Amino acid sequence: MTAAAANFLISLIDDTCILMVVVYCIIRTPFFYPILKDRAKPWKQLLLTLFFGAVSCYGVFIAALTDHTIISISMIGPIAGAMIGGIWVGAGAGLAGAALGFYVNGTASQSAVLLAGIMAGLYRLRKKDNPVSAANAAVFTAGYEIFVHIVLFFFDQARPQINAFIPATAPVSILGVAGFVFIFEKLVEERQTSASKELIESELRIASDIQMGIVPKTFPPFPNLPEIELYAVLKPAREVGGDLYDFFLIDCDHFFFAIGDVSGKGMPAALFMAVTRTLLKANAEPGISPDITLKRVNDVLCRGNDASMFVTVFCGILNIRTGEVVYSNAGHNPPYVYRSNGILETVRMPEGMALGVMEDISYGQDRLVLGRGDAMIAYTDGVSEAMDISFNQFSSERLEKTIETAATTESRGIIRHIMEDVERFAAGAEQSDDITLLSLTYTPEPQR
Amino acid sequence: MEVGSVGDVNVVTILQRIDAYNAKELEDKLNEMVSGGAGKLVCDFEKNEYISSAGLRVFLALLKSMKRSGGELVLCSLQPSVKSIFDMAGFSRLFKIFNSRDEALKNFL
Repeated sequence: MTAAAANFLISLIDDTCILMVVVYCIIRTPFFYPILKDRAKPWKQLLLTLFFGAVSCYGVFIAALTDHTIISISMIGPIAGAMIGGIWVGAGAGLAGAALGFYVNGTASQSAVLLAGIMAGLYRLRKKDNPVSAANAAVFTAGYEIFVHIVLFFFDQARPQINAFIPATAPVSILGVAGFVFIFEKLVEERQTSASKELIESELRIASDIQMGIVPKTFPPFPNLPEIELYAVLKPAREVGGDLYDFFLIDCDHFFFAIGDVSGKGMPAALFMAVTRTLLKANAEPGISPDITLKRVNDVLCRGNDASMFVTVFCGILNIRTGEVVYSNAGHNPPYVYRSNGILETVRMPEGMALGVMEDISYGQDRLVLGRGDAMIAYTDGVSEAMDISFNQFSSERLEKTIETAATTESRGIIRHIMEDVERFAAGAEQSDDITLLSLTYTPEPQR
Repeated sequence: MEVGSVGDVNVVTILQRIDAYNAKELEDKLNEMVSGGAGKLVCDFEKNEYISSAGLRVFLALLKSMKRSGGELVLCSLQPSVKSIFDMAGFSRLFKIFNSRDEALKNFL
């Protein structure tokens, strides 16, 4: 290859690179991807044809500045168009380039540009629904270049001195086509990834809404039950979590409440949480004590629990006439009773294994009495094990101190006080576990 | 996680913290050992300072799968704070727990 021929080739590659950059910028605009999506629609085919036709015409224009017989750069548009948009786009773009080329320089060799689009389109058809990779497109282009130059060698003897180095321009079209297909491939891939990510995120958001809708969140929950002042918070570490609380009246005198923590986090924990909460509600009936409720729920949870999930639950029934609380425990951390005189007691816990571990076991039961203004505070270990940035735990000791510094035994006030202190402690560290607190203050009318 | 063996007994030293973030990794490693035919396994908690409920689940699942395959899992050297986590969930009744590694190994003699 002579120095002139080398310079010429380099300038063609320059032009191709400029083309690639311009195309890259165009397809990165927000308008382009919607065209590429569902590109089989007729009007989108037309737009793609115009786009790749313009690319082909750019090739003719570049060739006109140097040597009219160079067709490699004009073939980029039709071949890439066919690979990306199908045979009609390829043929259309080829026709545009060939027509302009013929108008500019009148040589019959321009028909190779049209043929390029058609041949590439046929190749595309043969691939059916499989996408054409940049490597496939490059191999096709190389094959077509060889074919064209053999044909031109025999039939286009008009400019033998140019033909001698025409094969050297083949890298331009191969580079161009492969570059095009690569850019488009990446764009589609990227958009699909982000679309599926968005789908998952939106499903998680919905799951989160559903889960937050499962637990009662209207406070005060019973405006016409003056004996109970109750407040609770549930703050999952991720979109969905495995903590739960629930409360409801079993009959006009008995008030059931529960708090629980499923092992692990995320979607599996959330599903297990929803099942547990439903089972608790279904098995807390009039005349059934909390230990029996836990036993029944445990037996159902154990069946078919292949994932070895488990849930710790503390539950109790408050007699709203007497203030007596009968409670049972399945592996949950002990709640506190904060007496109206400022004394904090840890609730004595009967032994009991977490739910979902072992079938057919029984649970212990115990009782305590709440006086007027006494609060019972239950929590999950997301509170005591909340961490600051250096992985120090909030700890149950600090929790106890925090409760003792609450100026009130009113549930809403206590929980807000604890949450503020936990947030102050974490100081922006990522929340590592679901945080749940439930407080119940017994507030009967003063006796006359 | 260090893995060693004494005779035909595999001994695994559990990390300082087992929580939701590394529980999956621990589970995969232990499952790999068990499916690789580790019939006798000691989990040494000497270095472990904290285990979350996600970690407890790993050991529960391991216990179940080893029982099914006829193997045996024992735990040893639990620090008091970790032991209380096992106690709280009622898991101390499920597992054979020894005070030291030597006692745990004797179990298999």
